[in-house]
Amino acid sequence: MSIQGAVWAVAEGRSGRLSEASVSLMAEAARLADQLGTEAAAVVLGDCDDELMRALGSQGAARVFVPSASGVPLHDPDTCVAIVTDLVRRHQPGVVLYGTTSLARELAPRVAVRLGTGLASDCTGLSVGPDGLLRMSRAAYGGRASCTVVCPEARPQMATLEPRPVAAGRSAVGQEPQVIQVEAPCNAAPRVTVQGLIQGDARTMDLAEADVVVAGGRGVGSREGFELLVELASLLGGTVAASRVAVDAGWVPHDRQVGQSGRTVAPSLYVACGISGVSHHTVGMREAKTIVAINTDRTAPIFDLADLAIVGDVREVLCPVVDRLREARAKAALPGETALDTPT
Amino acid sequence: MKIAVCVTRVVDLALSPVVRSGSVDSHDQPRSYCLNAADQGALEEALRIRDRLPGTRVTALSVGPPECEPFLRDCLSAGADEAVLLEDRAFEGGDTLATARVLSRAVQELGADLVLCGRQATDGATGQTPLQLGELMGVPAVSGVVHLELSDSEADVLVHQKLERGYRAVIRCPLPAVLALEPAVSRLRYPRLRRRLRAQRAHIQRWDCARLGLTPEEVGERGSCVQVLDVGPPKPDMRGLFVPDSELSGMERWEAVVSGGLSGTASPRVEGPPAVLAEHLFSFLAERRLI
Repeated sequence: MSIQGAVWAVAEGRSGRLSEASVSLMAEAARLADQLGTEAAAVVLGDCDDELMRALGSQGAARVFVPSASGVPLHDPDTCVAIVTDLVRRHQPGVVLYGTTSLARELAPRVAVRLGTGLASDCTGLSVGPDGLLRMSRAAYGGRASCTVVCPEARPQMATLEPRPVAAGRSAVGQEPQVIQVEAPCNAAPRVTVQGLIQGDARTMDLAEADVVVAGGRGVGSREGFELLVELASLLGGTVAASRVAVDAGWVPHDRQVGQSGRTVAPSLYVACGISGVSHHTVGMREAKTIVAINTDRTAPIFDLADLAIVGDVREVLCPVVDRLREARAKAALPGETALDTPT
Repeated sequence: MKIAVCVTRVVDLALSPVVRSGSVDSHDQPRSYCLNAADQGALEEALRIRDRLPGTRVTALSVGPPECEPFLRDCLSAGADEAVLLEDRAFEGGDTLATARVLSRAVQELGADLVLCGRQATDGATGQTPLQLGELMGVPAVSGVVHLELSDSEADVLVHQKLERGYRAVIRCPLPAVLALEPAVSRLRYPRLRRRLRAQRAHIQRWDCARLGLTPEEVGERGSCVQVLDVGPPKPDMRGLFVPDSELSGMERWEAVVSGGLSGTASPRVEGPPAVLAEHLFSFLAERRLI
């Protein structure tokens, strides 16, 4: 087998919890390690505690590298890059996997430069080829093509991996991982300073940039009705949009319009509230990964596109959801909610 | 102040390129390509800085074949002061690291204080090149920039970086630096006719491997770590696919298909009192990790 060395997952611990993405990453690392006949290990950036170790162990991590006692601040990419590079140089893993968080996206390309190796980003699938090389598949050309790339010579082979649902049951074979404390290389004064963390404004955030779009149509009923949508969008970290009807009625400005005579969006989540879903609107949003539709008309064509089709009144359905989200936000109990732990 | 804007031409996805096993057929005409949208936004930001600070020099840079020249002329039309095409047969087939190596030499040659690029190209969509460029130059690189403000001293720049769930990090970054902008940050201004005509006659510099002091082993396919093994149509999206119950007999399965089961809706309607619907929505979002 041409791959020696372990399969590593670079996990991120936020407030002592492992993000879902890191869990699925570890599971994938363990699966590949099984196939390659080697061991899986994790490097933990951010804070780390025993519970997190167990979570990694239950996904198949044999060893966990924990840089220094206090953990590595996730908002200091320079230090993170130095740590991962240093660890890889010393332990020579065969494969290093990263998530697709904003930190990982920043970290992985820079580590690749320092190690002089290749990187395949945003992979959707990994497998081991007959030559023992990692086959990394990723989407290209705006999802119209799928590419398979390999890294034939340089080591380690590195990829950032899109999160996927974790298959349950792995925990049965989980073990207590061996924890290895490593000294974090002390970094000279960080070059960039993070001054704070702000929430993007749901009213002005650009439609194309938003990961979550809450859109309203005739069924929203009024300008006031959109306030609820704005609130939901803020809580989900997204922005508001509208169908042509709502724009023509003057409930929202024109730059919020989605559809043939407006913008085309492809967010992770599109919530269509009171939108019937004529083709003039749907051409602008049908590429969304998840579509939720709320409409009183059970024959509305939007339901044919929807992953969740709710027959009901927008206000009646959304009010309790907004309340619950607000409550959860107030308690800050949602995992992975804060992207930085301690904004300075 | 000198600003380098790295641009690239990409296959125009609006023209629906045909993906066959092994290749992406872009109809292979000059205009089946376009200037990458995020790079256009980066150029616009550079021009806005120049509007505020006269004396700023904006240079458009692109790595690519001679066919990229029209796109650099587009940059000149919009207002860039000069354009450099980094062109050499040896650069062909390079991965992000090899491309970043070429760009880093060119940027150093220009002595740019600020490098602006689009966060990622719409075709390859790796988003790696700007960060690798920063790393090779030994300067900070920030990706996912949605807002930037140059300080009055011109010694640093304040940027808003897009994070998960609508959050932004407010970052102060010293210059020189590489900033990679999100596609939707700004739209490139419409060129004036006079500039456009002048751009047609403008001289576009061409720098090759030797001019940049690089050897053919460091760049292009030979200098790359990653190889593309195969390009093909994507796996179909699972949503909405109708699969007849495997418990049924062949005849029944066939009937399920011909009776219009294939055009059936993807998901059943959820009905009930509002509280139940809200509960359903909340758990759906939680399940898909959208909250």
